[in-house]
Amino acid sequence: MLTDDLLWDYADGFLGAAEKQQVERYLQQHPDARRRLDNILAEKQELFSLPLESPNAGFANRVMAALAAERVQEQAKAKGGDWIIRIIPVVFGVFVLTPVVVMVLAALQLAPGELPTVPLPEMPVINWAAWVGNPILQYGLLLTLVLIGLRFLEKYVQHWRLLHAAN
Amino acid sequence: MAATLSDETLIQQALAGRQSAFAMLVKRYEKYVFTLALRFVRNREDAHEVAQDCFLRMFRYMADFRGDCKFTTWIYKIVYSTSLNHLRKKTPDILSLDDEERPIHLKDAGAPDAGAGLERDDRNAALHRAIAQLSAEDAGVITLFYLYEQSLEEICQIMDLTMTNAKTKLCRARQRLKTVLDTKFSAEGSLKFEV
Repeated sequence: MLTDDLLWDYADGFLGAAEKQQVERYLQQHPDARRRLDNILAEKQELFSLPLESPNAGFANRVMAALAAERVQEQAKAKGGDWIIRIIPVVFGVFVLTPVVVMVLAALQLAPGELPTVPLPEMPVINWAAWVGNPILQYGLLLTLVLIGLRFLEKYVQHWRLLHAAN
Repeated sequence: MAATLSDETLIQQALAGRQSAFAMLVKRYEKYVFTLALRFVRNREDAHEVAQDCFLRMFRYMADFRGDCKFTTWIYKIVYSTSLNHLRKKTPDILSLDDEERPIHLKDAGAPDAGAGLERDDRNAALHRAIAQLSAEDAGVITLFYLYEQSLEEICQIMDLTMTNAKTKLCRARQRLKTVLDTKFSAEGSLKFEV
């Protein structure tokens, strides 16, 4: 007696040559088993011919838009999209710290790069009013603020482009 | 004609930067990817998300496809792993799609077109609904083997199974499908399934 599992295995082609021959001999001698196999083959055919589910309309377009957005982001990264972030500390260093160093050195009455002589002078008196009013410092701060503003603008434009690409 | 271009040609063109070639691949496989994703995640909205992720991953890793297996097998492997990741995000303790403990839902849970009367369904729709009521892994194995005509070896590659395991799962999935069809649909005279 052939079990249905064995018949399915036969229909699915899982049996070895010897088993397959045995099943075929049995099927020739037993028409009822042949009918069961025919039913299984019909059901298999039904499974084979099941229609596929369709995604919503415009799915492929949305995939391509998402891909485009991903590529825009990758390109922005590859081009060093964060250059403004990297340049801010440099500008800060050049325009803010340099005047401070210059002022301290001036207070020490030394030229930049010149080593202090012994004995060291007394602690310098820093004129804070002059320091805050230093035009170099003011321009440095202004430039830093402008760069931060540009960074925000860049982010905004990038966001707008992504939205535009997705739609 | 562009429509008759082989997968290999389209892959080469997509790798060379031709987006329209990749768009053709998406169009060609969107139904296959979506159907399989739907079998695994069992929710159309999630299936759309998973299917989109699959195509993005496909594009990202296409250069790594060396033709060791069929292109479709490679795609279905991506669908399987993306679906699994998606389910893990939703249910962090999930380890696999195999849910032997879960009883078969006979109340249309998660089935597409739930509640629709069989009188207006054809046999295909009934079979779809029955498959949708299987566990994700059972539905996936049935879909891969019978609908997508993937061999057992290919199913092993896709779902990281051993041959014996894959065969057992297929046999079990068939039996569960029979249970669903017998319990729910056979009584209404729609389908009969011999196992």
